[in-house]
Amino acid sequence: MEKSAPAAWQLKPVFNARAVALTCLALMLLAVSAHRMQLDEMVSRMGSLILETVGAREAPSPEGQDESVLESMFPLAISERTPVDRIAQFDPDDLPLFAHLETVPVEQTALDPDTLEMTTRTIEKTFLVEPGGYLFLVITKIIETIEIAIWASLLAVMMSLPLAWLGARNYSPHWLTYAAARTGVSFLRAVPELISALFLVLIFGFGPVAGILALALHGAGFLAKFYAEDIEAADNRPQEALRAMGAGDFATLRLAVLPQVLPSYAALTLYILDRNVRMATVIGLVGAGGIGQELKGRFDMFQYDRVATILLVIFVTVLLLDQLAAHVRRKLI
Amino acid sequence: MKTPSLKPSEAPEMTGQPALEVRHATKRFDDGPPALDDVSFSLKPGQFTVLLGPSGSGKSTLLRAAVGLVSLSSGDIQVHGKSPARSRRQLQQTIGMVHQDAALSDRLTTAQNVLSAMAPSAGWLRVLFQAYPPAQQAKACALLARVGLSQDQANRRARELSGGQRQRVGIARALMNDPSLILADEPVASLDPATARTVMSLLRETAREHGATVLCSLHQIDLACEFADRVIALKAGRLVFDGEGRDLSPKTLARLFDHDRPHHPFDLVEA
Repeated sequence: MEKSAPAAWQLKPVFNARAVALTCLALMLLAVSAHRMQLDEMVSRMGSLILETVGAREAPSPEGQDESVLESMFPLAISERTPVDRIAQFDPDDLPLFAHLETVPVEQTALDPDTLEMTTRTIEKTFLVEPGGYLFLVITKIIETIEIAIWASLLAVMMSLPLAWLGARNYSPHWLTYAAARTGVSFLRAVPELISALFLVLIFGFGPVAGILALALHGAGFLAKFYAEDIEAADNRPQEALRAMGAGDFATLRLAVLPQVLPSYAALTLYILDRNVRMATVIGLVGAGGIGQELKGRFDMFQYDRVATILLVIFVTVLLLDQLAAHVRRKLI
Repeated sequence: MKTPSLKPSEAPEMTGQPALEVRHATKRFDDGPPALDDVSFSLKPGQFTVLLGPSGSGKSTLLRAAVGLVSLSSGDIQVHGKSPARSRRQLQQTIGMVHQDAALSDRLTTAQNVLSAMAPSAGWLRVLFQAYPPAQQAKACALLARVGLSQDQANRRARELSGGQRQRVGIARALMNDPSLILADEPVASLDPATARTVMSLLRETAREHGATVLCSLHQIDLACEFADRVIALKAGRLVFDGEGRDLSPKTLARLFDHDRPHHPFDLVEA
């Protein structure tokens, strides 16, 4: 190639016409999409909310729905008040721990059988008050949620180990089993927990079983993929040493692969446990047991003070479990 | 406790067969020059033979073919009259192999690494829980003591050992199933010269005690001449020398290790 003087050099432009055109096109598409997604309304609503908060503008009306939600969330519902006549086989001499009875006058409207008119009269009604009753119920529910998560993780590990064996290219007995295992694993991972939980609730009814299975299936898909990739990436030299001694696949996996991948497996399993606790609260929304079921029920009954208690307990639990998982992970690796 | 016998289970000398017989062994990988090109030799039982040659001369391929880890393109290898291609599992349990860098399972203990030689003949439950019979455990301890390790080191994870100690464990593992043939693939490649010398003499002594034939690949000429009863030199997959170490002439050595390798792919790049 002939050399030209440096003054005559042509430098390549950083942004060419094509890049500019593509960027404009992308921005146009985003603008159209933003309108479709009502993002413009979101921005104006957020702007007016901020203005109202700082007092630059009058709030539209005190009966605004979201304000009543926020207000009714506080104070949090900690205690439980149950009318005594709603409790089957109530025994006033054998109250639960820390509970006491409270009698208050209540106005009751009922149809008078004689006059056939609606009449209002005041009657004495007795309530059983348990000071920490609701909090206790929420904590039992969150323990149930954690149990769901632990069982789901155990089942996921048990299902994913054989799948990982079949889905590891270097240990799968045949390319067909490899393809089948990989396809199955992708399928398991592709179905979101919430969707599978919907169907599993139809099969197994409301309760923890549907939740455990939904989380286990998704978790098995995740774990099998990463377990298999760890097997494929394991150092080959110890494996070859065992094969040279005449060891089969099982002995090689057990003695040369498993010790290598164990720390990584432990970290992956802890992640799935952590994730299952969070997801177990969500899939409760479709009736698959645990705290989510309670949350959905209270939300639908507009009992926002109880909703607030549930959210707080979930938040504290996830925070504590996160700390615990981080601690265990540090010990293992 | 009764000291377990360290004697080999069979005496190959009785049969009069060569411990290892290689006939016209040729191995071609996908492209490029053959890794092994018509190599033939046979080993008398009890001999300590060194396979000498530079990197890429086909030493590893030959050893791996002898233990059935790779199959030859043509030719034949027989161990005590049997072909590893046919009765691989059975034969592998009579061969001890010492690998480069020892190839131990790093997170298992030293003792479990030695005992893993028993895994191929053990039931799956024993393998799963690494629970071997007491006699085998005692034998593993005796072997570890023989190669110079302590009880404390036997219970440490293999990754905590030094390079020389790891290769001692590798030798103990190779001896665990009473092999009549020991194949060692560059056992001292990553060790310093002094440690390399101790490990080599340990390999020769223990093999002699067990009456095992040894074929050991090396690239160090001094170690080859010092330890070998017989030296077989390979270059670019061809056998270029077969005899005693002291007969290796400077001319042969220069030819063996020179940089003029007409068939080597790197040379084509330079040209």
